[in-house]
Amino acid sequence: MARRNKKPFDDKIEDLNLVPIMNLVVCLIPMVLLGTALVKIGVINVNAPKFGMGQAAPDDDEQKPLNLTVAVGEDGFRITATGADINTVLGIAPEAVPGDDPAAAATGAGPKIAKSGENYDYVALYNMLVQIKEKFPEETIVNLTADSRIPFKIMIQTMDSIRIRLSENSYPDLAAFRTATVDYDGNNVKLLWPDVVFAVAQ
Amino acid sequence: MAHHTKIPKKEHRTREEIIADWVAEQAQAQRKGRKARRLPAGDVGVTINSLMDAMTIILVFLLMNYSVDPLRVDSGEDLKLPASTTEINPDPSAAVTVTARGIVVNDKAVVAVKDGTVDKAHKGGDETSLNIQPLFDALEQEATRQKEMSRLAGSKFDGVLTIIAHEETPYRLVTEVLYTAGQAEFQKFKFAVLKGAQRGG
Repeated sequence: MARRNKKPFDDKIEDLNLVPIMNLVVCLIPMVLLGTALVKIGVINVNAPKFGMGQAAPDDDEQKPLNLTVAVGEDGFRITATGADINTVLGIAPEAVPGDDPAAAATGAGPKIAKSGENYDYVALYNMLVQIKEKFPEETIVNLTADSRIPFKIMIQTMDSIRIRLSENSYPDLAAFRTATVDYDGNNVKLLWPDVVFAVAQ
Repeated sequence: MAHHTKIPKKEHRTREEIIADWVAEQAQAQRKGRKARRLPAGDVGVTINSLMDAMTIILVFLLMNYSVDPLRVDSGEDLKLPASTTEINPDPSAAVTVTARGIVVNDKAVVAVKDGTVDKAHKGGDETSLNIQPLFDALEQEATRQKEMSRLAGSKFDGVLTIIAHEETPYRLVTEVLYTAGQAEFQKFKFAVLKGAQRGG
């Protein structure tokens, strides 16, 4: 009391009442954090789709393009190509086609990669595509097609497996495939079959 | 004698009683002391200044990020993005969103989707047709607008379209959307995905 009488004017600056602002900030931060920081969105580049599979390449083209196609079916993948016999490239015996199916033979049907249990065998797909890439290092285009009911996320996972080259050429199992590191060429990621073209199965 | 009897009485007080007395005395002294000191209001409580500083900075930073983000997706039950291992960041472009219930072009709903298909009435009455007419109209309008803008700006129409699709969208519907966009002169597509997935599903 005595002090106050001596000094009638308090030289201390009054603090602003920041409590409402604090309340606002405390509410806003979790909101914005939830909205953005947790969800990191990326993109996958895809070329304009080609409609109608197995369209003949222009005849005047000097070198016949490989026209590699990965088809996603309900029961697994199938690799086909019109520019080369994939079975020969991979050095495996062609699968016996039940019945006489000239269409399958004409499109150069390659090996089939069956699902392992409920899941698609992305590891086997990667291993085979690396082998094909070794034989055709200049080719980058791969057609991707699927049965009409295949969900979009399977397509994304398939693209993830075939676009990027990893440090090893083949992986024995899914665990090794998951922990694999991406192969770099200088600063850029080494690509396997980066130019994915969507096609529609007939 | 009377005096004598009093002293042992005092000595007979239990330890608990002595402690209780002492505590009461202390409390009284403290009450008195508090009244005497009378701290100015405002000096009591936790110091939150540093916390305030940090929070303000975080808020500004987050808000900046929020507004700069070229692609914002309001995920929900009908729009869950598939996860991918991609490292490519999105660029601003026109966007088509395919949810489980409809197709949206730049925040404007154009056609409904039911059980993963568009009603054939919107495809010229033909079930096998790939062209979704309302989507084509909306995209053609968008392409015309972009072409006009790039003409005025002296740049080239790049034909980039971002496709934000629900993870369960059937492949057939995706190709229908891509085909329709191709008809409207969009040539390059970017699929929006969530980053940080595991390879091989």
